[in-house]
Amino acid sequence: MGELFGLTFIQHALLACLFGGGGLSIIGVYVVLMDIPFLGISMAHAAFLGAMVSLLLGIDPLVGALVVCALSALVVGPTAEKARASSNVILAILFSATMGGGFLLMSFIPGPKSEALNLIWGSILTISRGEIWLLALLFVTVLLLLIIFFKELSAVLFDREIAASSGISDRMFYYGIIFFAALIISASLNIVGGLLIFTLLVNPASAAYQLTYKLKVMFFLAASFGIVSCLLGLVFSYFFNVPTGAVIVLASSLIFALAFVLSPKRRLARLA
Amino acid sequence: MDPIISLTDLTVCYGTNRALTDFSADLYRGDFVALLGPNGSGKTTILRSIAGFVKPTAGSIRVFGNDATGGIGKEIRKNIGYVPQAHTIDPRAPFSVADVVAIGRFGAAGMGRRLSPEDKKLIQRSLRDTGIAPLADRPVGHLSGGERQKVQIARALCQTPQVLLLDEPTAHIDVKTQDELMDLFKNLHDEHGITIVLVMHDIHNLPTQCNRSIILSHGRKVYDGSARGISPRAILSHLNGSRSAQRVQKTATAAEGRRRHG
Repeated sequence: MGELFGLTFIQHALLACLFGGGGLSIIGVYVVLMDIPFLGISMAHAAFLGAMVSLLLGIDPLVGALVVCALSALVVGPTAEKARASSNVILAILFSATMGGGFLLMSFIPGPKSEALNLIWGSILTISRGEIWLLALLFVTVLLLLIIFFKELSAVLFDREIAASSGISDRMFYYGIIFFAALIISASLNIVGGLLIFTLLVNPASAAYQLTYKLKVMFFLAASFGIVSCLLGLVFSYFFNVPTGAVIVLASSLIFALAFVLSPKRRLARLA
Repeated sequence: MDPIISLTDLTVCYGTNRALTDFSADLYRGDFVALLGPNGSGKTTILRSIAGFVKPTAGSIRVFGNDATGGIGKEIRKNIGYVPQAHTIDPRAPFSVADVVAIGRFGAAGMGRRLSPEDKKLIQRSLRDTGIAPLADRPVGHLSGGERQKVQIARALCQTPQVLLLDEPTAHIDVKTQDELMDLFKNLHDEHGITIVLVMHDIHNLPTQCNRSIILSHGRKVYDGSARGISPRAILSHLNGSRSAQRVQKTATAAEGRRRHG
């Protein structure tokens, strides 16, 4: 095991687990509590489309992912804000369209498509030093903003209208959340890939939701579950020679299943 | 005396649906106003327009002397306590009663700033005044409908508002809790001097402090006058369509004249 952690690419992967898994899971708490899971899916697939555009143009996939994901936030943000049933339909159409567009563009990429396939399924072991720095920067920024604006964010998460009636700029915080969601999703695309990244947004936060009535604890548990899922995926995939992204997703699903079964809330909610 | 809230020829449309038509009313400091009417008559739209959540299609809104037609600023909003209609909360939601009540102080505390000892005192006082201090640590999703309403009232109250907007606070609540809430509203009006605008369905349970009733039907005002200027039977008759709107409005005009000059 010591030999394993001495390898540079494994060290990079471990840092990606910490910053990417933690960052995605913190954003996941917003996605789960604001009940906007489709928004997460839509932006993840938009990031994939952007990465494909970049590969076709011969530039860094991260640049395209960031640009298209941020642009998609401008569309999906107001759509999800309407909080109507029809908005989910629009988002569903949008995410399938971006996915279709991504696959279509992939077919136009000349030569071997290994880089493109990595963006679909993830390739945490090939993550670069630059990507690690970006993930670290985003993770620390999101964490600092959460600590500084915890009271405003908690009010917005409880109820945007009630937050607004208290004098909080709910819209600013809502779009801030979407903006950082777009950045972290794009930067984490290489961890589990565009197809599966959504699960790292939703599973750890949903597992934490089962276990606590305190918002601060929920953030802490979600980030921990996200990091542990990534670490489990990394270790299992190394020893059993299976795809890392898939095992990360399975690990996060297993954590959710355990949290759901062991949740003290299920019994208390029935008694309430 | 200048009105603290002035609504002039207010028309609100949701898409093609006209929710409110040419509604005008001036609300004065110390008023205890009941907005009455059947479902879809525009009561909630008026309340949400004052609170700044609905932008009127036509007409104007002035709040505390400021134009609030396009929405109200944060500073004005802090002086308006808004209690929306009760809605269900997931029993697993990670928010305690104290967490929700504290939201009322967040705007006043300032962005990115921690709550001051004074803010914390106001939160405790609101919990006590509404009788929910023993529930402070309970998850808010575990409370009954009446208790949840008290949490929202406590949250609005700790804003130390000049105006309290209450949207059907007694709907779907047992009679005993309804009476408790009515006593609470009377106390807030008499002891704290808060101007109250109350949307109600149950006309038989109007608080005695209520000095003015505005009755709406199909988005139009059909009565505006003393709460005692028209009997519950007359209101019911009107809302059931068995009395002409003209006759009720005539009573309203006379009562409004007496109120303004008397």
